[in-house]
Amino acid sequence: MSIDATEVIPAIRRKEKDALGSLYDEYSDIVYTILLHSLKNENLAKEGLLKTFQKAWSTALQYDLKTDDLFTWLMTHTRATAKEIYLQHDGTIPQDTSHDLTRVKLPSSTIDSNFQEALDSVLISGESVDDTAKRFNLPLGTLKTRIRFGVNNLRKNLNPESGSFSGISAIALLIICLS
Amino acid sequence: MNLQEIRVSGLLELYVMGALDKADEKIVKESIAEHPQLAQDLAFISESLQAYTRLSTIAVPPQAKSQLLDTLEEVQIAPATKRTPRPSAPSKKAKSNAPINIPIWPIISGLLLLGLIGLWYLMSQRSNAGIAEQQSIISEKDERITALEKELASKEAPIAMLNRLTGEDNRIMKLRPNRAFSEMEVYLHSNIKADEYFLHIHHLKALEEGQYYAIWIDNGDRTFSFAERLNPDQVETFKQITISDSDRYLVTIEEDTISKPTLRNVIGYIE
Repeated sequence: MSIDATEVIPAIRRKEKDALGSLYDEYSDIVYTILLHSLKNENLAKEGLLKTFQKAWSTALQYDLKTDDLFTWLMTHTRATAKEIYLQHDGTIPQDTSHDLTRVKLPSSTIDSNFQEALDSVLISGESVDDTAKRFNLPLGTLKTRIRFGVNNLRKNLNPESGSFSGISAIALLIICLS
Repeated sequence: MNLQEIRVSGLLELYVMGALDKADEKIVKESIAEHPQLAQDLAFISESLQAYTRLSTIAVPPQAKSQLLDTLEEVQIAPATKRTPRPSAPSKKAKSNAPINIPIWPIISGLLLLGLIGLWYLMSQRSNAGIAEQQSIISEKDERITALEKELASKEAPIAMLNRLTGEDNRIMKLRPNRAFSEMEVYLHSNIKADEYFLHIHHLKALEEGQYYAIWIDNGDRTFSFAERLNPDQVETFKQITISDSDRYLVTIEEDTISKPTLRNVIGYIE
């Protein structure tokens, strides 16, 4: 990870805009991707992006440097923002995006397709666990198990530190992307 | 929740995604406070999810950053004591400003009484349904399983019995460990429609350093197949198995060096 919470959060608390800029540089693509998948509307996703980082700015005092994690903290803000925007529009948001929101299907040697589907719904599309379980017609416990196993698959087959795949998984993904 | 329960609950992953409701979030936070070793679990989960999310991101609008930085001075700062707020549905505003004075206690008492009667009725119905379900499960046991139980009961180690959770299309079976592996937990998660079985093993401290064991599986015909080697350095083993006959399925753990299982360490079976 290239950004350290013990440096950036105290700086944001001191109202240093550059610190929030660093946080934005690190995570804005993830936040925007999730908001766009959740809302499927570019204007509202951009509005959500600004709101999410404004929340980070305004709630930095509440961040617990001992236990909190930047990614988790921003995910909580991102999901909360998406839900707020959704409620503000009474759940009827017109789809308006030129981006292809189809996620790359990873090879089964990296992650089981059922597990990826569950992860994509909750993590990327920002759907609630209950809604995802209903949509897939799965018991809640089964969905949670799929997500947990999916993360285990990723942990074993992704190399988060380098941000790349290991060995065969990388080659397989490359072939899929090229095809 | 103890350490193992919270690890297999799936709540940690959802916590990192920010996808828990307040009640579950409280459970996770209490568990983190109680078990500091969970910090490493959470770090792994966070890194894995970040790496996964970054595989396919969409570029942010180019002017968004400058717009954000320009608005910061207008943003109100929240106090330190309050945690990150969860969104709630917009509150309904009162339609009338003129309150009507109605004595409220008789109404509340009446509603409470009605609620208690309804609750008593529901509980009694559920209890009857539970008894019927248990009887149904007991009657489901066929002769083959009973014979298997007798055979296994003659072995040295006590035989694990099953603590079953059933679902419509799925079932998760927690296979109870025997004395030899008291800290081991094995879950069989099966998707009946897809005919897929996932064998998930936590062995934590069950294996000592340098002590390797292997999991063998019998899917009904007593031709055991080697499923997985248990490594003491790896506290969690995940095995996805596709079997054609889900009629009976036995899991036994044996010393790594043997070529045929002795059935002395059967950790459970499903029927």
